[in-house]
Amino acid sequence: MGLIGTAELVEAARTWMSSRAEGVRGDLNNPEFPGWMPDRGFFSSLEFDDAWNEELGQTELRQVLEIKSQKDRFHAALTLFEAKFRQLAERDSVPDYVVIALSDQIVTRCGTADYTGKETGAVHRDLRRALKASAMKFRIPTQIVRAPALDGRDRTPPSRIAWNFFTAMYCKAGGYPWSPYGLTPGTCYVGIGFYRPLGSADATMQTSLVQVFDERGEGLVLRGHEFEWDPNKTGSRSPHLTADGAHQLMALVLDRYEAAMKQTPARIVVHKTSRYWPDERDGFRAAIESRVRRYDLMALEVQSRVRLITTSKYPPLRGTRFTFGDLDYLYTTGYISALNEFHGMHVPAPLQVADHVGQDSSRDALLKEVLALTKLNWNSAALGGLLPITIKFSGLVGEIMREIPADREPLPQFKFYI
Amino acid sequence: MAVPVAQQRKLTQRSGNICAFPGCGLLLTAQGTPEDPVVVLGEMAHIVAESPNGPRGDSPLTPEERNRYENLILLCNQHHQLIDSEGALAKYTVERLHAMKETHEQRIERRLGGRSNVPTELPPMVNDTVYSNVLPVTQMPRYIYGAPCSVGRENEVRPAAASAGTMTPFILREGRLWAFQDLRDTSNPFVDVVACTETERFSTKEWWTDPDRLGWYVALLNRSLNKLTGRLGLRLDHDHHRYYFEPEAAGVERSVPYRPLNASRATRSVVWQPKKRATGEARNYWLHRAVSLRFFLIGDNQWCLSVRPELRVTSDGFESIQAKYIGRQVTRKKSRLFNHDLLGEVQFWRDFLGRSTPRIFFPFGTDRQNLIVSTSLSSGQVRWPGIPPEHDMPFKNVDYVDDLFTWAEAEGLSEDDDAADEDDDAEETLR
Repeated sequence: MGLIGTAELVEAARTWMSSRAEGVRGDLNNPEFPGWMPDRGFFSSLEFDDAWNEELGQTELRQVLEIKSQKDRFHAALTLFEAKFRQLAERDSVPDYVVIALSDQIVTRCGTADYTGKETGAVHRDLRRALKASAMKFRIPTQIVRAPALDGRDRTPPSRIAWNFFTAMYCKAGGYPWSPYGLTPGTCYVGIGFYRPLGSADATMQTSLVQVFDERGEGLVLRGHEFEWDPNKTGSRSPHLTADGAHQLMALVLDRYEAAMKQTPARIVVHKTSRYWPDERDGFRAAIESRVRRYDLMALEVQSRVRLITTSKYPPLRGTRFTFGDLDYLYTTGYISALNEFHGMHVPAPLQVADHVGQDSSRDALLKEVLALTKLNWNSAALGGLLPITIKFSGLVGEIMREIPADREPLPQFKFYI
Repeated sequence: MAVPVAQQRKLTQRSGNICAFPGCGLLLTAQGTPEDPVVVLGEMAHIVAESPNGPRGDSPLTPEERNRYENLILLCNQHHQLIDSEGALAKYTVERLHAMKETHEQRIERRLGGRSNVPTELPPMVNDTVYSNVLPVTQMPRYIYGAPCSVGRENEVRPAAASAGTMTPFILREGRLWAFQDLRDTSNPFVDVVACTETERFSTKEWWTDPDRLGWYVALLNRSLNKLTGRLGLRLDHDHHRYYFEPEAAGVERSVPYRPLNASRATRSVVWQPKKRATGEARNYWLHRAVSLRFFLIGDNQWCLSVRPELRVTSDGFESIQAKYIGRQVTRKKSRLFNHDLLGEVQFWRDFLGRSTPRIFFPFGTDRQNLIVSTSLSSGQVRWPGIPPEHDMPFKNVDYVDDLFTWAEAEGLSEDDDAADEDDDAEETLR
């Protein structure tokens, strides 16, 4: 494992990780973290090597922090980190994983930048996203740690921090922390999302994004094509693909799936947060039907219009499915009776099946898969999320993807985005 | 007699390949040579010696029992020697070694977080009633009327006062005014601006299947909500499409009576200025109970009204505060809203909107044209593992019962769509 940060923070991060790797005591609400050692927990070991560390020198750091313009300061910080990534990547032996320890000063002074460019219009940048996109150039999976987590100012229960930190590390270092149960073999699960390029000048440009998962939960991120989307002309804020666009995107998915799996999927399930417009639906269908026999296109929308209310302190159970006339809902968050607990804070909202094209699987089977896919977020040790992973990562990946220039091929592996 | 392989496996697996002596923790395999990459260091120590003459050997156990898993403990060489050494026998008794082994094995299981292969006992299935924040529509107007309109802007239309209490929602689309009132009738409230003789009449069901017309229809329903809430004294927050309470006078908090979940009467604050708990000092913002209401079609011609309780924040009871300054307050409030609080909020709104009666009534002039929403929460029966009964919270005031007045109001309202309609014959000629 490599470390990037000031000498002080590099040392603090190292000490913190070594001590947490021993295991962290839990409490009533937070299970014990069993450790990251050869004989317990993750059955792995932390390997540090000073040759894998890149320290940020006092002078170079001061030169960045002293810059007056927010935009220039942000860029200078990014350039500084990028130089460190490059130096690490050029070593004979490269670490599997790099922890970037950010001081409070860097976060406050360079954490975000808002500026207006001639060609780009108003731009909002975020250091975390920019660092991920930059590290990706050198194929380095990263984890960002902020000083409060290291020195104890972060009030999150320590065992929970450790669980999340080490679970993400395990995944980024190439492991599979757990596998899904109940997904159908030979099925290709696809999530469709969109993102806008950096800046407000191109407000009508959109790029499509697909996330593909197999039944073992292994996933790939693929960038689709750019297209224009004008909410005023179309009357819809959420973008929709043309028939050609949908066809192209699905063909790309199938090509990549076949290249990776050496076979055509037996079945395709597509998740999207907006409804399928007729052209879009026809494009997907045409691309799928020429190659795959069974498919289902589903639109899943988080909504807070319709809720079930129990006469209890706790909300309905996670996994509760209900219908209102023709409308179908699923609670992916809620009370978990097997554990006798509710994870969320306020009243949970169910997912609504806003649209379903193709009837090759029963609704029950499809919703069970949705539930299984909510558990596949390896970036956290949480039991399950609100959204299935197919669409959960769209936003996260899109934010990083927009930092990657159109002429640079983004890496398909998830570990570079989380 | 040697220890059978099955017993050996049981012992090594349950001991997790680690010496069971307290505090030792030595791994009992080590890296060896390329020819023999794993070297075993562990020793199976007998708790009761294999022979009656050995350490702790005086026991009724049979020779076979002495070589079973139950009588063995996995140790490193050093601790094996220690427990068998002459001077330590008094200290390492049979009982002590059994306890040592058990503690160690339990610790290993816990430490590794192993999944138990005994099927987890699921809570028993129970039957429960769950409610929702959705009210069923029991009657929708049957027709929509549209006629060419002489004015182009909605704020130029001034509907004449129809009979007492009648609501006159309308929309202007494609040069026509659309309303629930019969525009053919020359005494209709819009007679000043519409051409009565050119009236078109559509069955509402026909509109629901056309996405564009459905949008118009929902707009008309939203206008109806504006009328209803306006009569109840609520204000419309256009930006968030929600209705809220305003103070009756500047700087004065407000509360209204209602029927809560479990008592016959109570009052609820609807506009208030929160105070700091420690000092009692007023905070620099005001909170207003608000509600987002939406009609939606759930299929098979069934409409519902969803009631989503919300909060509005203002600086002084009137001026709204920009979202970025109040996001945290509202989020914090929301994060404290639990299931049962939501039920209480929904109860408040259904009671307020329905004026403690079984229905919310939108009078459009004629019985067949009225819109009626039941104030009974849509509910259903579920069978599920359930939530333990110790978390139950009561909800007694589930139903509203008609009194003489509400009964009279409802009387004569036909909810039966198949009833004969004297206008049906006219439908063809009008379309």
